[in-house]
Formats: sequence, C-alpha cells, structure tokens
Amino acid sequence: MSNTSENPNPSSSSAKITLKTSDNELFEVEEAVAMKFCTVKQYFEDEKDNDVAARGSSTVIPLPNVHSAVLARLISYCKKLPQSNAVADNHEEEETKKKERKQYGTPGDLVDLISAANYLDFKEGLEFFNQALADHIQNKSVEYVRKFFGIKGDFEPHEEEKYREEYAWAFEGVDED
Amino acid sequence: MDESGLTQQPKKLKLNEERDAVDRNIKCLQNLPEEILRYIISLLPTKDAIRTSVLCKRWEYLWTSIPNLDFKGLELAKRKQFMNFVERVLLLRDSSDIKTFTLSCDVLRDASHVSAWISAAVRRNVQQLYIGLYDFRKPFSLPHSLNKRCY
Repeated sequence: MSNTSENPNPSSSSAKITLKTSDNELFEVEEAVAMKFCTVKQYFEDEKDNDVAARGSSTVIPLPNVHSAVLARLISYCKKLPQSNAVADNHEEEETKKKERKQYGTPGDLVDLISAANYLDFKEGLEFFNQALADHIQNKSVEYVRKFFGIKGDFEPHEEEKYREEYAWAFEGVDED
Repeated sequence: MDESGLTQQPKKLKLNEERDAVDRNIKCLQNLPEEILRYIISLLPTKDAIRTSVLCKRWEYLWTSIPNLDFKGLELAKRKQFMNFVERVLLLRDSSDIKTFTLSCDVLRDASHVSAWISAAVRRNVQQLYIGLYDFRKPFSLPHSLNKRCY
C-alpha cells in the first residue's frame, strides 16, 4: 500500500502545510495548493501573525468539517485542473469540460465536495462542482432530478399541475429519462 | 504526473464506504444551504432554472434571483407558451439586477409586449443585452429607457 505522506515529487522544496481532517487523518500538502482554500489561508496567516508556528511544515490546521475522502478528492482536483475554470470559448472545449466534470459523478459525492469547497472557501472548486451538479439538472425532467438527488416532491398534485401549465414552455424538449 | 497522487489508493476504498454512508442517510441536495442552491440554479439556462421550481416547495422560488435570463423562442407553434413564459418569469423574478438578458423571437403583432420585456431588463440595470428580433408587422422602436443608457 502506498504511503500517504510520501512526496512523489522530491525536487519540490516548497513549504508544506499539514491539514487534519474530521476523521483525524493528516494530509501534507504543498503550500500553493493549501492556499487555494481561503479558510486555510486565513488560518495560516493568523497563525503566522501570532508567530506561533511560522515554520510552515509544523503547522497543523484542523478541518473539522471535512472528511479525509473528500479532502483527498479536492486536493487531486487542485493538482489536475489548475485552469479548469477558464471560460470555455468553443463547443468542443465545453464538451471536454463536461466530461471532466462527469468524473465527479454521484450526487452524494458532489454534495460532499460542494459542502467542503464551500466550507474551505475554495472558489474555483465551488464553481466547478456546482457546475458539475448543474449538469445533472440541465435538460433533465423533474422526475429524473428528483430521483437522482433524492428530492421528495411535496406539492399537491393540482398545484404541480398548475405550475406545469403555467411554465409549459420550460417543460418542452427535456431529455428522455 | 497523473497517478502520482499521494493519497489515491487507500482513499478510493474510503470513498466507497463513504458513498454507502451517504446513501443510507439519503444525504442529498437538500443538505446544501440555500445560497449554494441559488448558485447552482444561476448556472443553468433559464428554462432549466425555472423547471427546478416544481421539484419541491423549498425550491419553488429559488430561481427568482437568477442573474442571467435567456429567452429564445422562434417556433411559431409554441408562440403562446413562449409569451406566457417570458411574462411570468419577468413578473415573478425579484428586483435584483440582471447581468445578461438574451431575447430572440419574432415580434409579429406583439411589439408592445416585446418592448416592455426589454424595458424590464433595462430597469434592472442589465449589463449585457442580446436582442435578435424578427418578423415585424409594424414599425418597431426600442424602449426610450434603453436609448438613454446607450450613449
């Protein structure tokens, strides 16, 4: 089994920051990656100001709201897609991006990633995962979205019917479930 | 470069466990705060955004603050549906500013409606306006409010 703390890129001498997740796992990440999370950045800078632990590598930043499985995915996202949020300027590029977003698939995963990105104030990630989630709503029927995301419809049948009539145009041309 | 991720293997197993836990708790979209749901809806085309209002009561009015509106209705057969849709959306949308407003349709005999739609966008301080109007039955002029802002 691979060692979680092993650094695959020994030539890099940049400072490391240790993040501690809700399940008490330690992640040693490059400062450049950690600083994308504004919540971490803020914490780190406050620590620095207090001069408690200015030597980067010994700083352990607790993230009580982020599970290790989710943090691992966020970090690998940071590494893989540094410019992922650059605006797609043609159709082909948009399709490629859609495929990339699809890899983060299941609704439970996306909700976890979004919650974590929100808590960490990680703006690019939040936009990316929100868009990944939006991809599962676009062109989909109401029934599909409810099922996919576990939403229970709580309108009275006649209320819902009324909406569907009033906004009939919005219900045209959605994909087959 | 690709598979060198330091924590990939052991985490994958964890993720599956996590996923099961997620399924058991039926943890879903409803767990996200309202501001995030609004964010997600704002990333959708207008048609899709409005459709979310039927999902459940919590979502009913989340769409009303979407900053971008796009109305493209060139199919004559669905003219009435399209008109109703635009009118309702503009009527029910909240008063926050509009970033981009896209309108593409035939004008036909509805010049006053179409003009009012554009005025509604201008009144919400629209930043980008894309208008493609076709098939005029009468002379058509853009709303005065628009001229005032385009100097």
